[in-house]
Amino acid sequence: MTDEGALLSVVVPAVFAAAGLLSGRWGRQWARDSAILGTLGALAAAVVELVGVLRDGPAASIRFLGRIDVGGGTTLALDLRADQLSAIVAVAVGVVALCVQVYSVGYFADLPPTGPHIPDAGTPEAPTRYPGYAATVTLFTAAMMLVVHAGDLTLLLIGWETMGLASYLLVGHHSERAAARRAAVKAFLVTRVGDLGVLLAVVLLIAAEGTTTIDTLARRAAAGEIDKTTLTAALVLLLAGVAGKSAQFPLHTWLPDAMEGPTPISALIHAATMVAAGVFLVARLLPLYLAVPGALAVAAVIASITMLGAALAALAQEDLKRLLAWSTISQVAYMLAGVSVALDATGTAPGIFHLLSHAAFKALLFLVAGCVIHLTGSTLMRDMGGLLRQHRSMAWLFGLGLAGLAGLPPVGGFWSKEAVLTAADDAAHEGHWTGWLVLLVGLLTSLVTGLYAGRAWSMVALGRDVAHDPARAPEGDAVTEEPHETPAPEHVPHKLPLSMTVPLWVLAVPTAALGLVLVNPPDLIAALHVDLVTSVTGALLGLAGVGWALSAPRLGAPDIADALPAGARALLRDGYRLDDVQDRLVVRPAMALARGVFAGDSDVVDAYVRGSATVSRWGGGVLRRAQGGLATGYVAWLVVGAVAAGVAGMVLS
Amino acid sequence: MTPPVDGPTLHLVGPVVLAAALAGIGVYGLLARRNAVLVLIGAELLLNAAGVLLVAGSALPAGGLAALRSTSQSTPVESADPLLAGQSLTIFVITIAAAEIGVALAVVLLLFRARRTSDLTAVRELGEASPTYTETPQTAQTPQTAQTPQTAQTPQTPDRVAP
Repeated sequence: MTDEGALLSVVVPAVFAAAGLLSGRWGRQWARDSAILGTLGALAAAVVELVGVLRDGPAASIRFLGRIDVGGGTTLALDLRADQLSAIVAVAVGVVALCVQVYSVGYFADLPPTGPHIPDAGTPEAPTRYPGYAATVTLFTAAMMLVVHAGDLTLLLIGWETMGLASYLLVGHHSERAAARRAAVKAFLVTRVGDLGVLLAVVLLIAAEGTTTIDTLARRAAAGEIDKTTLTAALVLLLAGVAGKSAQFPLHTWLPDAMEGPTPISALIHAATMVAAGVFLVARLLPLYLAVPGALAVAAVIASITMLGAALAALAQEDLKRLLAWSTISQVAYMLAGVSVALDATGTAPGIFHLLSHAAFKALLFLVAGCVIHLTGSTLMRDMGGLLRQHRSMAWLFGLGLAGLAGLPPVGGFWSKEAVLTAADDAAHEGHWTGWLVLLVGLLTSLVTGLYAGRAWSMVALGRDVAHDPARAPEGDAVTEEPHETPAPEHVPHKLPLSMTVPLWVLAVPTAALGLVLVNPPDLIAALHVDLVTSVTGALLGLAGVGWALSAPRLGAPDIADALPAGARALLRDGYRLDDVQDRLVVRPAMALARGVFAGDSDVVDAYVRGSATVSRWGGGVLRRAQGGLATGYVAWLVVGAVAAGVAGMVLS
Repeated sequence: MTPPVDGPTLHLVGPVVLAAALAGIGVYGLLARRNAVLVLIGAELLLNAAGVLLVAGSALPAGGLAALRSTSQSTPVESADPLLAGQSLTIFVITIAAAEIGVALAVVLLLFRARRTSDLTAVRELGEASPTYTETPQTAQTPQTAQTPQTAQTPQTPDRVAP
């Protein structure tokens, strides 16, 4: 039961993705059905696996792709494994993927021509291309399922790279827009830098140990049979991959730009698939990381820098989706920090628990953001406002997600975030400096998280009713023709389809109530505990931030970010201008090299080819002069030739 | 070495000088004449020069000129070739020349019918380097208009410019 569940949760979405990609021309109906069936099948298989794992215990090795002899006496066992870690994360992936697929049906529906402009709606110039989109989402799910279930690093790498491909395709889905193309290439290249680390680590482990099976490696590392230097090098290289996929400093720059993709894709990438993969990898390999403490310290430092830096950047964003993107970077850093302060093999619990609660509330936030963008036709927060009056239920869902983000009790985000901080506290009291670092930065980030969550709430849910504000709406717009006296949900430009609202309620359940899991926790998070003092401190800091942001309108400024100096605000909004640094250090030298290679190709290599053409043409020009049209002239050549042949014959004989 | 010859003999100089004279006249006719018929006659003379040389060569003893040179200058020698290959080849040359002259004269006749001339310098349209060459022959001077050679040489004819 466990084996079949694990196997099917990978195979079913992969098969449906292949079918969907191959049969894209069969129409929207079939694409929709195959996409939803694929993710539903994955979710069902993951649930079956979870039940099996909870009842029968983990399955160490499930035959999947067989064994591959790579030469040199090394055989790679491309097997799956199923334990509580993989099963629980797989269920989260399945839930989010299914919600995203159902949501996408409504999100990419052909909209009536009236109503506000929708950035992602299909037009003749920029079609939605729903079939390919839906199949790629299913492929994304299959790749993440493979990463989650892989019992071998080589197999994991396959899923890892497939995810990179799927994210490239989906971020650049609206390829008519130059910004989307640029964001897709950036996401692909930046994560590729990290992926190189994973690839090198796999090669290093094959060369040094002759195996990439995670169980074997963990056993040997625990027994101290692996050379410390080799192991440290491999684990730090893997951290590069983690930083790339999970958008950690300094490879985080792709994530805010990836907001050019459709909003459901942001939900998928941020909640359960792409960015979670990096944290999952560290959690999966925690026995190896515990064998050499240096690598975990690197992870803790990266996570601490990213956590606070991304939260501050989120504070200054003006675009709702970019705010959520920066918050994702910050929250993933929490997860990584939670894993990096682990003291023993049960130390994955806080990080993974935060991964699960983050999957729920971030998917919820992005899907609500998609709805709000649908309603207002803009992604800028200053164009939103008054959501609480127009869409009360939507606003409360948004608030629920923000409460999870800020870690306000008693929603799931509170328990998971305080679990991370408690783990850091424990590590600090064990005498690890990384524990102190994570604890202090984490508490500070709690305050900043509360600030930007409160700011988002005050700008989107409270604030002016922009859609019904005649001063803001353009002349002749359908919106202004609405009666202003009765602003009620029936009078908004268009009602949201049911397929867009149902996933929100589904995701709201774990967002609000994930803490209840702690009443009777599975073994994976059994070691989790929430320290009273730490959690009260963290929650108070979060509440203080929210309160500070919410009090800003009363004090005269609708936007708490206005309190920042203009220069600092611009710096934060642009993500510390790391893009410029990246541009100067990497992009320009690479482009210069590319131009040099191009010049070498066109001016040196091609010169020979073009030269032969020039010589031929010149030779032809000379020879055509012999073509005078006079028959006697041709005969003269004949005679000359005969004489020459005769002379040659006489001389040579 | 070679037995003496019974019948009448001929010195080699005679046919060789004849062949040389024929070839010289032929080359002159080919290169210097403008009339197609006379050029043709030059070609025929060249062919016949070859025929004469073939017949004379077939009378050489075994070993050819080298063997002849080794014997006394005045001693006649017997032909070594019982099949008379040179003479047979000459029959072939004459046959082929007859066929060739038929085709060639037909071409000359058609040329004269089309252009009212058999002057080779007047029909140079097919040569790319010729002054009358055009990239699109169908718009150039066509034979049906029966123009004089002088107008056919000029690329721009009055009747094409006129409406």
